[in-house]
Amino acid sequence: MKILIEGTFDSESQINPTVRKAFAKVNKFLTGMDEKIKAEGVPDIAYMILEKLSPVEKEGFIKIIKSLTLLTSGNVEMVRNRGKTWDRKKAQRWKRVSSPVSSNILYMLDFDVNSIVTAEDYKQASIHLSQIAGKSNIEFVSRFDHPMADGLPVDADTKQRSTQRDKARYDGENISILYRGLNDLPYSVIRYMITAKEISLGNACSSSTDVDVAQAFAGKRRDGFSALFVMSNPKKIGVDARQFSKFSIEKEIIIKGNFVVESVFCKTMHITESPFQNTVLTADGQKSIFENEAKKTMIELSQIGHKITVEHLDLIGHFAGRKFQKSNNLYFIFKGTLQ
Amino acid sequence: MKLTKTQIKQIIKEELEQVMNEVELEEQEAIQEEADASAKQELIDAMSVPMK
Repeated sequence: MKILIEGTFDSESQINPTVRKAFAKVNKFLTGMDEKIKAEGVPDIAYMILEKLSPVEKEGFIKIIKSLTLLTSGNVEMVRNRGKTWDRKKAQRWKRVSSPVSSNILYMLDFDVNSIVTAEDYKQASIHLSQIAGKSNIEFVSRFDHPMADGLPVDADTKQRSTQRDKARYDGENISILYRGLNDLPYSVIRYMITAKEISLGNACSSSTDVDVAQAFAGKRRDGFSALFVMSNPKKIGVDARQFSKFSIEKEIIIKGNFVVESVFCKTMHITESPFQNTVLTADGQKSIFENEAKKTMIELSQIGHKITVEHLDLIGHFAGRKFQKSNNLYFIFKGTLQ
Repeated sequence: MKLTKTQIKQIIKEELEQVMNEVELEEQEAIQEEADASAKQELIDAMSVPMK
């Protein structure tokens, strides 16, 4: 099998437009496909899209899949430290860390999936994700982008401009809002989050299009504070990992940038509730603690502890805190915009 | 204007207290800034972890 030799990364921080479009198409047309079919081999539709890529573009596609794989199912710590803690004895083969569909696609693109994931791979993934996750890499793909579509811009049955309708649906439902859950946070971090008007997401932050995934993660551990970011994403920032992640149920989008906090809500953790249901305190995210009483109260509540006790209720008043559920975790929701 | 010894002592005491408070406040701010920088990094690390 031919192994593509990876060169140094481009100084450009953009994905090649052809590769980006192919990536978006594969994502779009694999959506809803049975996992078993995806695991059996490269689905026909993906094959038709990928075979048209030039060798250089194929290399670009491989880079994206490898980077996403290492962040979503490899060792996150090593992506963060650029492979510094890589250990030859613990190193796994690509086919072990990648999802079945990613592994099949890598194989089809002539990448040796039996090769070991190296420290250099982690370093390259870290650099690559840092370059691409902050850009708008999520493209609209209409049904007429399907390799077997007849190319007509109008839906033959309804005589409507289906592309526009698809686009409206895509804009409204797809990635316009992203969610990130956090659990087990210490007081120092939650204090920082309440006081910060803008929160840096680092080089590659994992988020989801599904609020339930984020809330379930926020409520997973009860040893610290729980939080949820509700981020509107008007610029469509991020890299769509939904079809390539080993854990496709997470509906993962990798993002980079700054999260501008517009509102902060405080309530108790309840994963089956809508995030904004039964909130006890609401604060303006752009106001400092010196001009916002609610923020000050949130910090004082956090100082008492992450589990709701009588002390919390005494602080804000038993009537004001009637929606707090005793013994449950304090839960902060940050609503804002990704920039 | 003549000042008595007691008045001078009082003025010095008040000035000293003010300076000490300012120093204390600056120290607290510096500690908080340091804590925030560490919290910021801790948050960035937490956010890179996939939600599984």
